[in-house]
Amino acid sequence: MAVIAFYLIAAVVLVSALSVIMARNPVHSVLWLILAFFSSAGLLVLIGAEFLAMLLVVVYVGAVAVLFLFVVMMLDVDFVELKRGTLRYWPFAVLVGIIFAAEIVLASVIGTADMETNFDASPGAETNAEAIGQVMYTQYLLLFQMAGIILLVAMIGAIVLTLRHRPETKRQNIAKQTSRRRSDAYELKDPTPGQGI
Amino acid sequence: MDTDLIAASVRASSPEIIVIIGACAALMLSLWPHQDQQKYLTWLSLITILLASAQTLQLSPRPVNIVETTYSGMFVVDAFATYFKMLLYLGTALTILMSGKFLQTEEAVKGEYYVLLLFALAGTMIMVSGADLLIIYIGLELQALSIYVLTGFLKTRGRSVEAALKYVILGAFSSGILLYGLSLIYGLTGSTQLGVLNSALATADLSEPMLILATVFLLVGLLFKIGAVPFHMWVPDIYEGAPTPITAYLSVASKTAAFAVLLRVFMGSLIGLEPLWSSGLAAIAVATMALGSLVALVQDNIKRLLAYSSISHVGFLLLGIIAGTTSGMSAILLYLLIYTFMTLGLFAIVILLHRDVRAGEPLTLFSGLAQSHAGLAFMAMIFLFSLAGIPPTGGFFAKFYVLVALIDAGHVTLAVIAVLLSAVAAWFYLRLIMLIYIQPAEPTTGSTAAPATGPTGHARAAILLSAPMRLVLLFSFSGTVLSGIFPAWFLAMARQASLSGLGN
Amino acid sequence: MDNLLSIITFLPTVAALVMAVFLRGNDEAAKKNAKYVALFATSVTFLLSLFVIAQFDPQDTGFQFVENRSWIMGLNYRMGVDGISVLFVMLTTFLMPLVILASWNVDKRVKDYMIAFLLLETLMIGVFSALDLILFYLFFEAGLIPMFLIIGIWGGANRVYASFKFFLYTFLGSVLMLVAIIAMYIDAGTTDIAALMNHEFASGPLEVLGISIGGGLQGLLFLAFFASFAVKIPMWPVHTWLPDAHVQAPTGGSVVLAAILLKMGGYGFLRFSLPMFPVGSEVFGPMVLWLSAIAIVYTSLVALVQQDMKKLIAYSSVAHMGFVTMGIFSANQQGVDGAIFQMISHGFISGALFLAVGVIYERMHTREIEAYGGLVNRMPAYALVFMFFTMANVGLPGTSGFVGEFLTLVGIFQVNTWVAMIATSGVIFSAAYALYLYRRVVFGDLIKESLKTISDMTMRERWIMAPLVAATLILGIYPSLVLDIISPSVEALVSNYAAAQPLDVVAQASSH
Repeated sequence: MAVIAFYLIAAVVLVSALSVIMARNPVHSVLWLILAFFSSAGLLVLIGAEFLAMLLVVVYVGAVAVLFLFVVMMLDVDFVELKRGTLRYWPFAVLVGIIFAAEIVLASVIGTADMETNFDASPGAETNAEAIGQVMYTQYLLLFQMAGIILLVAMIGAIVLTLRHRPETKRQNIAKQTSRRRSDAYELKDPTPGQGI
Repeated sequence: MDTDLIAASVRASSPEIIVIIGACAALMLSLWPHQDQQKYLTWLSLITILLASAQTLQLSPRPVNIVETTYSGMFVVDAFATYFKMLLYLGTALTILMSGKFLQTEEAVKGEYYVLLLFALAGTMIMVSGADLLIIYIGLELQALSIYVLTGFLKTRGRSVEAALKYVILGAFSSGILLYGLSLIYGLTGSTQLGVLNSALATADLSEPMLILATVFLLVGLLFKIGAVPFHMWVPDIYEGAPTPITAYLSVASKTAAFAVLLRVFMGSLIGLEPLWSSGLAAIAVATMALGSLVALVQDNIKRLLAYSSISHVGFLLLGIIAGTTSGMSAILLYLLIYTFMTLGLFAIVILLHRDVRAGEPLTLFSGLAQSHAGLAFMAMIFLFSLAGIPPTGGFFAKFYVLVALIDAGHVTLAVIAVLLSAVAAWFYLRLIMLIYIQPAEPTTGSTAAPATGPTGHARAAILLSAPMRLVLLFSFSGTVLSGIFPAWFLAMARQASLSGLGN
Repeated sequence: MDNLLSIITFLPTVAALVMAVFLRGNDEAAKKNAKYVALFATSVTFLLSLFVIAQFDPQDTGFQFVENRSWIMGLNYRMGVDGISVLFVMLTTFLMPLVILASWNVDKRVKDYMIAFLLLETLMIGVFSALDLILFYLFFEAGLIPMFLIIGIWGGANRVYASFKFFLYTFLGSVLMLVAIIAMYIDAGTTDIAALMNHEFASGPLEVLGISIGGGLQGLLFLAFFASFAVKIPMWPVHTWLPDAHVQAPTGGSVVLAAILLKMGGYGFLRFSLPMFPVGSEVFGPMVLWLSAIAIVYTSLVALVQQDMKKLIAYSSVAHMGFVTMGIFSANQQGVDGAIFQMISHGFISGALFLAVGVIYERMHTREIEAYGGLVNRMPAYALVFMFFTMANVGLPGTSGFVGEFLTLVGIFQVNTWVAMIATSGVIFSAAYALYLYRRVVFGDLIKESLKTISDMTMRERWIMAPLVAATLILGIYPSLVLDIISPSVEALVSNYAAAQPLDVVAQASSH
């Protein structure tokens, strides 16, 4: 039963991945990508890594794919023009892909390395989340903290790179307004009669 | 982990915590719209670095061979890490000092600059203290991410943005390769801890294809980070486009941290795999030196020339890895220290001469410097002779000790090739010295009126020697000269550090 | 007196630092101060060096005035002189005040000029008195920097090319020497020159990249050191930097280059190649002898067709240094004695010749032989001095040039008669070009308009030439002054060299 589910979901993944690159409409590409993500999440549930599956959905679909959709819809890129001529490179691309795949297959088949193929997704705990929690906050504490710092830096970086103050827009500077002193507002002048200011 | 262990871990990583807190404080401070904001931020960053370095020195193990592993084996405090952290503090502090006037000239003063530099420092500190491949990777990413943003900091200049884009792509690609190698190692040995890897790989079959693949990927990922040939492709473009203080940082601190990782992993834990990578690395080292020296001969932009010069220095450093053993590693450590001094000094002078980014940084910026600023010209000459490796400057001893280690290990042909390529490299350093001392200042183009500061003519009127710049020049110049006359002291430190670096 | 050598070595640097820090401004007073401070410093150095020669014991073949301080781990700061090097130190300190005097009319950046020369003096004295291998290399290499600047900043029209050529040629040879130095350090475990002279390097056959090197490790080390010293001396065919450097350098620079810097190469051969690599020297000796012979003949012939006075004298220098290398590698008492004597005398003679060219260059601002002729009519004193040194250059008995040439020829005759015959013909060639030069410049009628108002030597110029004339004459008449000092050390060198040869090589050598 699980085998059928695996082949079904894997087929969906492959088809949607191919459609991502072959679709003509960029929005369609992103939607196919979302389907690929969901299906990969399904594969992960199949092997018992449900936390990771949910993570995949939340992060990839909820954040990354939405980001892609935003960009695709905001940018006025003429994908037809962009993709013109890519057909010329298909043989080369396929060749490179075959070489990569062959290398990995060769290395993993020929090698006599004793690699782990069966592993327990939730060692010593009921759910995935609990298992991950048990190690993440103890053994991998430093990694966890540093990953958080990386996210902070990413946020700062994004703002630094894109925030622009338009000089034309009028805006209020409340701090400046409330910190106005009497001396900034007006000054007393004592003109001699008949002279003016 | 119980509270004792957590307390010990926090104490061990207190320098990093100080730096991160400092970065967050700088982030807060950068929101305050005060006109002297930049000055306060500089002070804050420097104080943070000073506190962190004081704490690092206090934590440094006495006696020297004690190693403290915390965070359940992820983080280690030993003499090796202490040495590298001091080097990184030096590099970052000097970069911060150099940036002040530069940002004002470029009208890109933003508080986040200092925030990101401090985060980059934290990332590098984690890298050099890492005892586990994963934490090394995380530190690498933290540093890289901060530097990506800093490279593209001059948002309105096309070259800066282009350099950032190239760096992001290059960095992402190389991190991916590194991570893949890392995961293969995990698959083969079941652990990512450096201490465990050494024993796990001791009995490994060296012809195992997966092992070879893993080693190659790991090595290539790290070679991308230091810019060795043939993974150097975009390094000159990145160096040319980035803001000059960041180029200095890239050239010095990023390389130092990447070398620390390279040394700890390849000369420490994975030393058993040495037959796999030694001949390949030798070829790469020679190619790197050759390419760096030869291509630099035809450059006419200062930053590109310095990029190729740092590529050739990287090649020389790689030879130290091939030499192996304590003497090789201590030679590399000493070289990195002296390299920090001379490169930062030279970049400081480039920043001082920098007028208008639209004019670029052509070599002619140096013309006639001796006429107008004799002191600066003399310092530039010493830095350039040091980079060329001519006694009695520090650069000579840096190369000397690498050569001693190399010949002691028996690689005499490599040593001969290395010195011959250094002689070739001397040519472009001499060319700069000639420009400084021999050729007159470039005449101002444009109107016949008083010296114009228009877009094309750069009048050699005033070079703003602000107090921070003087400090930078003082440190780098005295470092270069002292390490040339009394290298013993620096060498002793490097030797101590390398002993613990190999102990892993 | 303790530390005398260090004081002599670093006194010029102290003076240079004083000038750098305290002398400011570019006005006439500052320039005068710079010149006087430099003159004072070099003169004091010379006077101090007289103490060295006074207290020097020629019979002691070891090193004297030795100073030993720990410096870096494994490397020591050792200074000392023996019979071979003490005279080079004296030559340097003797000539420097004259060089400063000759540069009295320099107008551009006088302070920097004097500082460069003072630093150069320190480095040159350091080369001759260093007793530690790394210290020697340091002084040797660092000397390139001031010379590079001197040629590059105060030189002639093509000075950039000349200074680059000078620097890169010498640097390339020297880096090979660095590798050899490190190999010696690793093999012998020390960088102390005195200890290394006693250390026996492997001389069994060695294969490098498939080529069998005769003389083994010694042969390789000899070749590496040869690369450096051959460029420095210079030997044919790596001599091409010298004419350019001499022509483009200012007068003072040319004098220092010819008189002292070239001698560093010869000193290197005597201090390193012969004592430390005797078997290697014996194996490659014939090669050096033939290269010297070619140098003598070839450069003499080239000198005959020169149009530029300085270039002619430069080529003549190469030819004379050919005699020196011949003498050194004949490896017997007369040859080496003659080589050292030739080096000392060549220092005086070629220094004086360049100064003489400088005298008329200052007046006419051209070095073309064509521009001169008939100077004897207006400059009799100059003609006399020029004649004297021309004769000394040719090797007229009574001048020091004769003693050096004669001794080297005697030396080489005992080893290789073919080379000796070719070298002797070189003497004739040197007469040819020297007299040809003299005839065209000094003798004849004064026809050219531009020369009609030329003035004779000034008092300053006479004061510069006088010591040189005196030295050449005294050494020519009474060569024992020099020979007594160098002979015991040379005897020790030669006997150690012969003793270090394996027996079959000795048998071969004695069959000539």
